[in-house]
Amino acid sequence: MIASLEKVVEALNRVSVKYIVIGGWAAALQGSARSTVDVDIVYARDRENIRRLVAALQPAAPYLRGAPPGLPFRWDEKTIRMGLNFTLTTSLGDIDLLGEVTGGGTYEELSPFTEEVRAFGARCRCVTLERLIQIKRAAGRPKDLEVIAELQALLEERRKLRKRDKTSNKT
Amino acid sequence: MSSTVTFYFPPNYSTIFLLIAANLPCGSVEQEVVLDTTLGCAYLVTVMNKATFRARRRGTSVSFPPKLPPADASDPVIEAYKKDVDRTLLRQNLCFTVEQRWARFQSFLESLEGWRGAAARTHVAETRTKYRTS
Repeated sequence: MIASLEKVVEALNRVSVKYIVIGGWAAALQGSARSTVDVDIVYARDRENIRRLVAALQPAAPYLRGAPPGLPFRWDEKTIRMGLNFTLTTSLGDIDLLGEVTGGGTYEELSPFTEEVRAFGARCRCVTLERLIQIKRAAGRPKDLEVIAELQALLEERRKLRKRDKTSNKT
Repeated sequence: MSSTVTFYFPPNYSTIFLLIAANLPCGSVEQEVVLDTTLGCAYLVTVMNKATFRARRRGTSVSFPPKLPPADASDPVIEAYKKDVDRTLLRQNLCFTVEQRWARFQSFLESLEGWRGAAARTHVAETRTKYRTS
């Protein structure tokens, strides 16, 4: 199921969950022309945040994506504490909850490389384009090579645009 | 002068196993793992291609942020892919505000879901017709 970032952000913000949007949605917000079907989120692993995360997604009935139907799965604090990364299917769409991401680390480690995004009255923290490229590189997956090329091209175009804006402002 | 040597054996085999396990360089798992030599971690790869578990090599510490190459670092493979990137789409996207990008992307995904649903319904209808005629 295709996820709606707006609905996910709304659910997480309602109970003040500490999270960072990464992956395809972060790339799209930065200007990428690629599509994605899920929302990738890095969440803080402290007890309080896990409690909030559980409460935020409870109404969306999270279940392990790709798991056979009927497999017992309890969406509670203990499950989150015992695990780290979860690929979930919910009524809000597919969500990847990541406690740690290769090259980016934990929520606390990734936090300095984020920027605030405001839209539709909501706000969320999103990883910077530079860090996103570094994370994709660190992941070392062959499928990401094309994505990295696009993100680097985007970075180049953004720098050109900023340079042009600066020179036009001076003149 | 004679000397006696006394050997002390652990009480059972499980103790030996525990002693060996405790001194292994890293946790061993039977599933596929990706070893991160920089951090000394072993990541367990799940079917969903996500790392879920890691065992850190004894005596090593993780320092973050790790030394990653800069975002604009050149790589011949990526440069080869970059030639085919449609920059017109990127330039167009950069002209929009973040809110506009968000809205456009969401509406694209919604239309995609709609088309997927329509394709699935058509496929079901075609399959039914095929069975009826045969």
